[in-house]
Amino acid sequence: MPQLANTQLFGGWGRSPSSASALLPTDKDPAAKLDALAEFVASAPDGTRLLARGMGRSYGDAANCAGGYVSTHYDFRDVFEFNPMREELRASSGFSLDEIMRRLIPEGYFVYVTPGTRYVTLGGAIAADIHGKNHHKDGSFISHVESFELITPSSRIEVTRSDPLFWATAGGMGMTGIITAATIRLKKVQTSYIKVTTQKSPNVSETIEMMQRLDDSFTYSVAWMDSLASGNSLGRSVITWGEHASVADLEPKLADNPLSYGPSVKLKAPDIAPSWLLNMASIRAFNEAWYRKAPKNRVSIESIPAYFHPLDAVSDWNRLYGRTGFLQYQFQVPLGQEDTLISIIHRFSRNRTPSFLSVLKRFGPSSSGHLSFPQPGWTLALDIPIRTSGLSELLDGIDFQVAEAGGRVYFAKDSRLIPELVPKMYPRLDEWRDVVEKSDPKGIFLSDLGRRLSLRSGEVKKASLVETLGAAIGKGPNL
Amino acid sequence: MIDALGQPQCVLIIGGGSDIASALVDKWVDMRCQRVILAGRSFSVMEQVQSQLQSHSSAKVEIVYLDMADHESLAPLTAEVFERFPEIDMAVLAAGQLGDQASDETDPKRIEQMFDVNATGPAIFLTACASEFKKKGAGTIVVLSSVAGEKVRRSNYVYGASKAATDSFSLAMSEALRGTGVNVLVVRPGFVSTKMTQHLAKAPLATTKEKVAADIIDALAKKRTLIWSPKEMRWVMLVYKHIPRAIARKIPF
Repeated sequence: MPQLANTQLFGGWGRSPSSASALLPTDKDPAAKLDALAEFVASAPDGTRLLARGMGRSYGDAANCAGGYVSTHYDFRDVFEFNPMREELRASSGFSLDEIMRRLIPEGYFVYVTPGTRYVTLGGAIAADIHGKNHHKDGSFISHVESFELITPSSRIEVTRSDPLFWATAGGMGMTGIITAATIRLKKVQTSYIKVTTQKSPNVSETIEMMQRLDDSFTYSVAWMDSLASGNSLGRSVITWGEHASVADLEPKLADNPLSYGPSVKLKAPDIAPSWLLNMASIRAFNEAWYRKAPKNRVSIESIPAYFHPLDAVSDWNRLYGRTGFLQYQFQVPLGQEDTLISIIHRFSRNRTPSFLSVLKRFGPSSSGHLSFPQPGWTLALDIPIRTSGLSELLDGIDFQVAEAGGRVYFAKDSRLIPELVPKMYPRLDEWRDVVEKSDPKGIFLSDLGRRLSLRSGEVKKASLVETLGAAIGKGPNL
Repeated sequence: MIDALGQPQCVLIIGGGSDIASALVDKWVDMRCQRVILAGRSFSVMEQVQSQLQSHSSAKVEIVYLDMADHESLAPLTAEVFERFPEIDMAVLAAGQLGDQASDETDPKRIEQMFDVNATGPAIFLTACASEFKKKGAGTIVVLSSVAGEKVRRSNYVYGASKAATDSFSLAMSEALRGTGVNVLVVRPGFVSTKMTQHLAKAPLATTKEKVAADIIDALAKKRTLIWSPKEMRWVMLVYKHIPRAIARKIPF
């Protein structure tokens, strides 16, 4: 491996794990830049590793490239062409959804898919094939992408939906090459507001029932769940359904300027929080207060940031977890596996795993991405401080339960999955490997996540671990 | 690659025969660790650890020769091990010898040997590991130090001083490595009931190798850089270090 100069430390949003990489040398001239980059990739000596990094919002090591090079979102910001006739945007991959929204909402256009933060880049959104609160209606991000430009070791090409590389890249976590620009379809909106229907649900069975019954009548749907509640209140939630508001839905004051959009960052979290700040007591108190103050049943008008990106109002909120950081565990189980879902929620509750409001969402049909996360079913995401005792064993057990149920864990959030379970969770892994093997035989675009989970190599080293765990869990009282 | 909870996938251990080290690997192979490289001088001891590990895990266990006292070859051989096993993400320094104060303090040869194995060798090995991990942009080094190195006592000052050298060396190296992706954890166990100490009387706050191993795993998850095991030892040592010498003299060790 070549010796790198000027390395710096990069970590994920959960602040763990981190590794050192060098910034990719770039040419200042936008016209020459991409050719120079393609040339650099094509002539990289054996053992070189390189990864495109966006805004570092993936929680674990998906955007880390230990001992290699990373490009940053500042490297790809040259093109921004909005075509209102075709309702399409061609933009460089380093633009964030935040910037796209700031520029296009006032014109009456919204992105089809936004996750819980708008600080993700276009490139990152494709690489993780992100989903939003409308997955059950509109699918994942890639459903609204026409094409993108990709730099691989052999070429710099525009990849379209008919190319297998397109589907290996959607959810491929950056390991197919560098996305430099993409063309996405946009959604026409009348206003920048969401008409939100809020309803409380006293327990998880009712949450599931309500979402099944009502999701299809709304574009957006999500449940915020108190994963610490137990007994009859297990999985109590506040469910919100949303619809883009029409001008007629707005009060006269808002209707004067229906497309106004100016999200603001109200607070910045300092980097001095001790690791124990977010503990069982403080998290439980927060969840309790939040559940109590939620209205039982209400219809309201909310702004796009307030509905979609509430946490973005506090910048660097991940610092509140202190130096040791936290992880997000997001898994998904297929429809029909509601019992598994409830059993897992029960497990978190019984283990008293401290987690702020967890997010439950019902997925619609999958995309064709080989490693794309969503498939029809339920997904739950929990933020958990790393210092939680017994966390490793708990999540290992749940990984296994999820895999057995035909579900999977989300790579964009992962920082500790059992590698042996990946082929079971992602049955199209071999198909993905074939495509990537052809486009990048030397394994240049291998992230720390890819190395940790042996995504590129076919070896399953410790089948016995899976068996032991399976046996242990099968015997336990947890299922 | 080490995961968010500090669990390694491929570990190099020097002093692979050490009780604490083998208790640690025993736990790691039941977690994410897929390959263990035992390094040391005594093949027979390492082979015992190897078969012990393979009796309950399908992790691959390799044995390589590294001699802490052979300062000429230590650095190039360590680099070779890293080249042969590029996936090494954790190195554990567990080599060391306790010696015997009564004979050590009168024999310059024995003093030299003690410092060779407990201080000079470790400094060379740690430097080699740090440089390999820096190239890789990631890696963790666990240094098994000792409370004997935190405050050197008259009853075993030859051993204590050699451990003190390694303890200070590691702590300062840990600071120097900040921002490189290389983390160093210094572990100061108290009195551990192991084969190295079986001939000695049990000290207060004595602990077991399994407990020390569990404390190390916990410390790695929390990204600590210095721990005592058991953790109460920290406060005992704090007091002990600050007792005036005139009074400390009255303490019988």
